[in-house]
Amino acid sequence: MIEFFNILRFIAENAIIVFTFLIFGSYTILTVFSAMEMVHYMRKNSFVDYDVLLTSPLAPSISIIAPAYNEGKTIVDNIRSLLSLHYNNFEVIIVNDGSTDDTIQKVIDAYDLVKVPFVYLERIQTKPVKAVYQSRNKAFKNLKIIDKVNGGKSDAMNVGISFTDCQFVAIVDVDCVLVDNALQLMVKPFLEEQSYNRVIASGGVIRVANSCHIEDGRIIDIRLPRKYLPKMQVIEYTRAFLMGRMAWSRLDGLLLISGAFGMFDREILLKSGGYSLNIVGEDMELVVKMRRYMAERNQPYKVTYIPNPLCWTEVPEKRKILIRQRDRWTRGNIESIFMHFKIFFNPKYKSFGMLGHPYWFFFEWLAPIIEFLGLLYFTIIVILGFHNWYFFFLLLAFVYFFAINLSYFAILFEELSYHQYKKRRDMLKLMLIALIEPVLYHPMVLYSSLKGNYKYLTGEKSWGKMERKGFVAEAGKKKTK
Amino acid sequence: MKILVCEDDFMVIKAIEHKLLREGHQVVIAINGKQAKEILMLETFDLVLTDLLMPFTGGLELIRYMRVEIKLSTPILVLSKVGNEDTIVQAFNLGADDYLTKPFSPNELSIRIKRFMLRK
Amino acid sequence: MVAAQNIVSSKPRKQKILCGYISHSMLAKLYTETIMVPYKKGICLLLVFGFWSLVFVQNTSAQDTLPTSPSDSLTVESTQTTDRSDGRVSIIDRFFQIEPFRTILSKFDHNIGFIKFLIILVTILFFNAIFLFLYILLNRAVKTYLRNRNEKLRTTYQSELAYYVSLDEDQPFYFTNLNKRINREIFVEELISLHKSLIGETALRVESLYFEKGFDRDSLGRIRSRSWSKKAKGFRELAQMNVRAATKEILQYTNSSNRILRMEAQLATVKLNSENPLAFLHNLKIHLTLWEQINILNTIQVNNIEIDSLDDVMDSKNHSVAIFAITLCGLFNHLKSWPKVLEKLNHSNPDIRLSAIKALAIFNLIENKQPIKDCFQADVIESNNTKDGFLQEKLTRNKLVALDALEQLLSKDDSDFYMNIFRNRNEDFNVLKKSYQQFIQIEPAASQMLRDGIMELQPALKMLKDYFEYKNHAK
Repeated sequence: MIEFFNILRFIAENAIIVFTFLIFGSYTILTVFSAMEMVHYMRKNSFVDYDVLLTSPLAPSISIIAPAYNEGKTIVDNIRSLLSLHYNNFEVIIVNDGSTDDTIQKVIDAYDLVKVPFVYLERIQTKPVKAVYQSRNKAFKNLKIIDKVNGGKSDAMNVGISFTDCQFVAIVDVDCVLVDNALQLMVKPFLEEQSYNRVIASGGVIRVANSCHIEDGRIIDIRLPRKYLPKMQVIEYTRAFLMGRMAWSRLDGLLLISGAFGMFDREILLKSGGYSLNIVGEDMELVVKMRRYMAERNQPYKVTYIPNPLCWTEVPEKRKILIRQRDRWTRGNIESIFMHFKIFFNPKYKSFGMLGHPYWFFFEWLAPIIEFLGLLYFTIIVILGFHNWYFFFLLLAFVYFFAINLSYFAILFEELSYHQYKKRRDMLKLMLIALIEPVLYHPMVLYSSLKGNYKYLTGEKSWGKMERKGFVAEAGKKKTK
Repeated sequence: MKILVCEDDFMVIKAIEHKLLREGHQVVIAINGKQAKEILMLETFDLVLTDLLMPFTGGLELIRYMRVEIKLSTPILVLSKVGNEDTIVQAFNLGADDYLTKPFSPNELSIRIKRFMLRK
Repeated sequence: MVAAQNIVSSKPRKQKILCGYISHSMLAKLYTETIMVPYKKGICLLLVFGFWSLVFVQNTSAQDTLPTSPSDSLTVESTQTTDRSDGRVSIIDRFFQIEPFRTILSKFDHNIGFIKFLIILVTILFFNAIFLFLYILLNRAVKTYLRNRNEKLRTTYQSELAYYVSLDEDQPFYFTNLNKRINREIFVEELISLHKSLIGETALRVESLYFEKGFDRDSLGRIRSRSWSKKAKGFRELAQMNVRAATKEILQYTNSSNRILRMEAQLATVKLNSENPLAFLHNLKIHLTLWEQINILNTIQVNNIEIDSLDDVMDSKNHSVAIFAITLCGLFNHLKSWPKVLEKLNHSNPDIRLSAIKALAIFNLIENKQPIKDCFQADVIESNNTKDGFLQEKLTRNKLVALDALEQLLSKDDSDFYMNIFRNRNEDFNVLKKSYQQFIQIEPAASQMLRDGIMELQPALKMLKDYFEYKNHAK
């Protein structure tokens, strides 16, 4: 009996340690790749004059699509800030997803809108459109408002995508703050495509806007969030965007373009079926779907990513909301991974199938579970008295210092590239917060991802929809404060 | 003449400022449309010289603000990038009086300003 | 009196500033020499390892020379020499003689190799974290200092330059110290940015200043440098200041495999090569991206460059180049090239056809009507015969552009052309929409003609009919 138990222990311990080393090894490799990509990008970018796009007759048309649900409080300002983006050939389409508040009336009053006749081909089945509005004022001639029956965020975006004629669509969360030249920066990768490679999607960095000074829908002064939870998310976002995604863009394994701001080739987006309804992580699933569409037709394609800080968004300040958000993200990941499990180690999908998807499977989905099992195992061992505290602390120190190194590298990248936080004290605070982040913040993320896994296993499909509505309402509440 | 120069390129501001000062004009500078709006609330000018593309509030919105919201009839000279014809047309529709393309010649600018003076 | 007072009061203040400046500059010098320069040259990694080895060597040497009991050190030595065949103590073993690592290691009884590895890793990570922490802070300090210094210089030079160009020709003017390298770099950057926004006499004055201060030699030196970013910067400066002597040298980079260098070289040659600005297109072997096309077009527009006939470039085997040439013909209204553009309507590549249609739309000649209609019909047939969605997408796009091009040229006798479009059941909705719109404009009896059986064939038409009726009614 004891013999058997020892064998079991040996296997479990080794498996966990091997997994840990694999995951840390992958992080190290990603850091190296992101450093390479970052240096390359920064040097390249110093020669770019984005303003040529403003006057060029060759600049492609872009449509900004922003779904809105009960955004009455802020919608007017948000539209104004979208309309004042620097680009020549673009339109703004706001899709009012059957708001129950005064969203639509506010917009009509503010922009002098009138109902206009409309006809378009519904290439993706959506909920019916009630009316389309346009302004009588010439200054707002590129603004269109679509009023439709409520059908969820995906449905709203699909309507907008079907409606527009533009070559590229930029999907924007209406409560995000975009920088002035966001469209110019975002569209450039599409213009740089080689004859043999079609750029199908491009994503950008999401930054934390909490405590920043925002006026008229613009960031005036960039500040570090005052509260601890958003501060830790600053570190997390820096790590994820400047290191993770940058490296994945080099490895051509980018799976996720954040729903807050991304640009897509409209045609491919429509052909691959648009945003899926009734799932939680529609933004991630879309990229996977588009990639699959291209790969299965043997069309060379590219998904690009730019590290410039383009989009600023409010992150949850309350623990409860954060946990709910992360639990939703986890379920989104699981959905995307398992809905398209065909890709898993499938050489047909090239690096996306051989690297990207398996990485998400092992290190994004499995890692929290293994971590939880590890903790469980350790508790059992302690109870049974088989533990070795020295070994425990040694491993703990290893994990902790590795996490801190990773955060510091991310901060270093940020510092060497865009250094958005101009005050030295902010930097210092950020680095000190990074010291407690693995202890305080990480368990929370772990908990919420376990919760997400649990919900995914037990819950029904329709859960996601309900949850999101809850979130939207919450976001609205947050803003009113 | 009292001129409001609204432009975000520091080098251009400086070049225009020196040129105009030497010709005996009074120059006030705004680095974006928002600042220009605030200045316009307080003072009156004989001419407004504005770039079309600026951070925060662009030139088009400034023109609209002047013509529609506070109903100023101050002449507006638009300074715009070459090849931006659509936007210039838009500016004229909103009530701009004249335009100059960047890159510009300071001498030409002073000729145009003289023309405004004569018209007055 | 007032002046005298001013002098008196400003004296001590000036000294104070001076003192502050000295201490600051010394600090910064220290920073730049110890941190910044190694960082720039990529030796920062070496610095990490240097720091490491220093810590290690000091620790071990202290251990060795410690006057502890001689027998103890001897036994340690002897066990290790027996362990290793070459008779030398390995670095790892030395490492574990240091406190507290020795104590930590002694707590374990098995898996020693792994534990050793872990301890070393943790130590490295620990010191690396400290190093990064300090490095980030120091880097910030240096950056702030350098930025402030450069900003100061920049504003000084900006004001001086703006003042200089407003002066009369013969008035002398002295610029602040232009001997230092960094000062020159900032000065030339500002000079270029000023030159960019000026034309005419004033621009020429800026140019002569550039030559007078010898910046052309700096720029020429840059293009001979080994780093591509310096080269590209040199290209920019030379092109902006019209240094034609460098044209040949720059021309050889227009086929470079480095994207940025290639584009900068292309832009520079467009500006400098006055006889034939687009000559490099003949030899371009690499795809000309839309981004490059936009930039070249911008250079042509901003500098008012005359473009000669592009007929031979249009035949280029490099399709992207051909497309660009056709597009330029249209944009600059080169009517001389009309027959050549017309010829391209029959090209097998749909992208080339697209650019040809677009160019013809700008020419807007009545002679275009039949060829564009033919091209449209050919696209319809090709699109009906293919199952390739990507090709269909391109053909649909071509059809829409062709309809746009026809818009101005239509007359009542084109009704048949539209009726044929409506009869095609596979036709794209947007094509139908545009055709319908044009059809009701030229044909007064449109609704009559459509009622006879076509509405059932093409259900979309009914929707379009309602839409346009409503729209016209609303007007």
